[in-house]
Amino acid sequence: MANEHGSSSLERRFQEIGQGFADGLHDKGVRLGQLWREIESGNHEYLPELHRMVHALAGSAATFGHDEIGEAAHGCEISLEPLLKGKALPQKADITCLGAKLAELHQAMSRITGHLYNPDSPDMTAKHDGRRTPSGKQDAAPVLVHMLEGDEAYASELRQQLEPFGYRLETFSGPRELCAANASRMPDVVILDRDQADPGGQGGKLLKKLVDRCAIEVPAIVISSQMDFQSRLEAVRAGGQAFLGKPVEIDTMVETLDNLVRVPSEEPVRVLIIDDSASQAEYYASVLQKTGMSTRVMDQPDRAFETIEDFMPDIILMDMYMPECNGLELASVIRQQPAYLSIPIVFLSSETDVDLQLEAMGRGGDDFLVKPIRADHLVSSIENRVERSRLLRNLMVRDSLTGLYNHTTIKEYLDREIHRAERNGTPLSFVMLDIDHFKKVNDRHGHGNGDHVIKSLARMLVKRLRRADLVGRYGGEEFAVILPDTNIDHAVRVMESLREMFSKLVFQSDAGRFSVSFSAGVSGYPDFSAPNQVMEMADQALYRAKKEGRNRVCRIP
Amino acid sequence: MIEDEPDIQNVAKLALELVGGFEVSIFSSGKEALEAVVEVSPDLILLDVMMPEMDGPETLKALRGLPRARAIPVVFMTAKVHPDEVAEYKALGAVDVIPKPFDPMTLADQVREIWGRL
Repeated sequence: MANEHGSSSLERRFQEIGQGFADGLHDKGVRLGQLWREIESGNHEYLPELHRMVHALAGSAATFGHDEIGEAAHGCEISLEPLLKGKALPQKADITCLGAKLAELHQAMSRITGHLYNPDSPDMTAKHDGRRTPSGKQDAAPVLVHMLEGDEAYASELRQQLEPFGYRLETFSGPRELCAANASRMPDVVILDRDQADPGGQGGKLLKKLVDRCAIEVPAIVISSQMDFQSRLEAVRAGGQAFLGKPVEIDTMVETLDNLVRVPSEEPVRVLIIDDSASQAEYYASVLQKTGMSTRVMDQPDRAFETIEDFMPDIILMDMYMPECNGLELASVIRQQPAYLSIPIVFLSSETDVDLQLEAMGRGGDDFLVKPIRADHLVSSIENRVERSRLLRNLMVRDSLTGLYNHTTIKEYLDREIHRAERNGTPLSFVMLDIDHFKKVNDRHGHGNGDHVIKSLARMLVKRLRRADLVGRYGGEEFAVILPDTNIDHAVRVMESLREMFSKLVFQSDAGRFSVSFSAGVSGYPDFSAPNQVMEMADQALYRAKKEGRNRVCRIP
Repeated sequence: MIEDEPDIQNVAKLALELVGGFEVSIFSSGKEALEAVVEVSPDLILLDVMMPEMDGPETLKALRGLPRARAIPVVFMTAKVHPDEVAEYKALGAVDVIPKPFDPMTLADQVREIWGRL
């Protein structure tokens, strides 16, 4: 009676229901984004709704096979607990921790929904008037910039130009309007046109007064048509953090904004804990999670490689003595892989014997912590190690001009991501992009401006794609993008939208204003299963895009 | 079963009917269930803890207040399954707790096992 239906058809029906769950994730993600923005602005009455949503996700996602989402949601629940209990005002640290957990949840959800963090699909783009209200951006909310600027045409253009980089610009024609706006919603950065703030040229006094009155807490950029030393000095005295000459190059403005605005959701530190004692491991995990770190616990050393490849830890915390194989041996095995030579490994042990400690270091450990370990000691050891390790790693894997992954690293990552796609049964897309007529740009506008164009495209790609997407600089004017959990149809849509956006940017040089476009070729897994095949096909698609007229996206198949 | 999330409703119904061979009636809220419980007259009630408006424990209390529904065994479904918390739920009157998220392939077995122990 119970098994009249074969288990495969039953599973299929479960999968269909699971698809319904997955379809609903996008809207949930949007709502979560909205709730987080409210809570971050201090509207804590939205906390209960947030709690209900993440609780529901924690209790249901795994039922549909989405364990990662369930776990991430559970992480959010835990970080919500201190915020919901008691009448005391929520602490900033707790809010930050919640933000980090929510970012992880969004990341897990977007792996399934495959959406851009900016849900600006071509159908929604329509009129590019630049004044778009962000509709629940899932990862980082657009950065709010308030600007004092009387020239409406200039303001409008700037607004349009900044939007692809994730900046939402609102302009005000007078100091009073600016102050009122800041009072109502404090922006992340303020741009003050000195000619506007201090038209009479009263030695920057008015500028200083303005900053003091309503912009003292946020970074301020002063722009001016006068670039002499006195003007610069006045800007500094007024409290400006940066001084740019008009007309401001978009690339320079974006770079200045980037430097001034601290991105709240930096990639959380990922710690892999290998310990055969579940309770110990859980204890360490919870200590680290409280500071916003992401943890995974492993008690079976034989799954180490799979876990490392999947989780990509910044650091491994390893118990020295485990029944199946001891920590030293495991560290040696891990270090055999060239790709894992640089992951810091920290041993945990009650071993006080210095000789054994030294042996542990010799075998591939980076540090040795003696149990019982104080929570704060554990946290700071890990934070310090990871910061250094990330800096070093960036030097090795990133291109210095753009900060994108370099050629070798992207190839490595493509390999890894295809393996992961195979394991998880998910699709993957790979894109090769090339800036059109780049040699002409260099010739006509100079290599400095050519570099600006490259940096702008790099920035735009990073800001507009998901955190899970990997962007690399493949060659001089060639870029590569890996989009995990994304099928080719979707990847093409995304690239089309980016192609359009990029072609609308306006750059400035001594030779005049100019725009640039790119061509792109898309391919992926499972249409092709070997990494070099995928690359070759994307390259051929790119070639076709160029042949067919450039400024377009082509695909194979 | 009393559960407010449609996706979970569908999966649970499928799991219990096809795998377990049970007859399943689903209600989206405590209020709906209370109105229909006497007529449906189930052998067992699966009750979600976190629901808007009327949560699990409140629904259980109301069920206990209905003479013809008082004796029906109730099983809570929730993410909180610490032994202390399970004891709390039992003290409220539930016979057991099924943890969420549940595995659709084994849900029917879990229910059968609880039923067998009654």
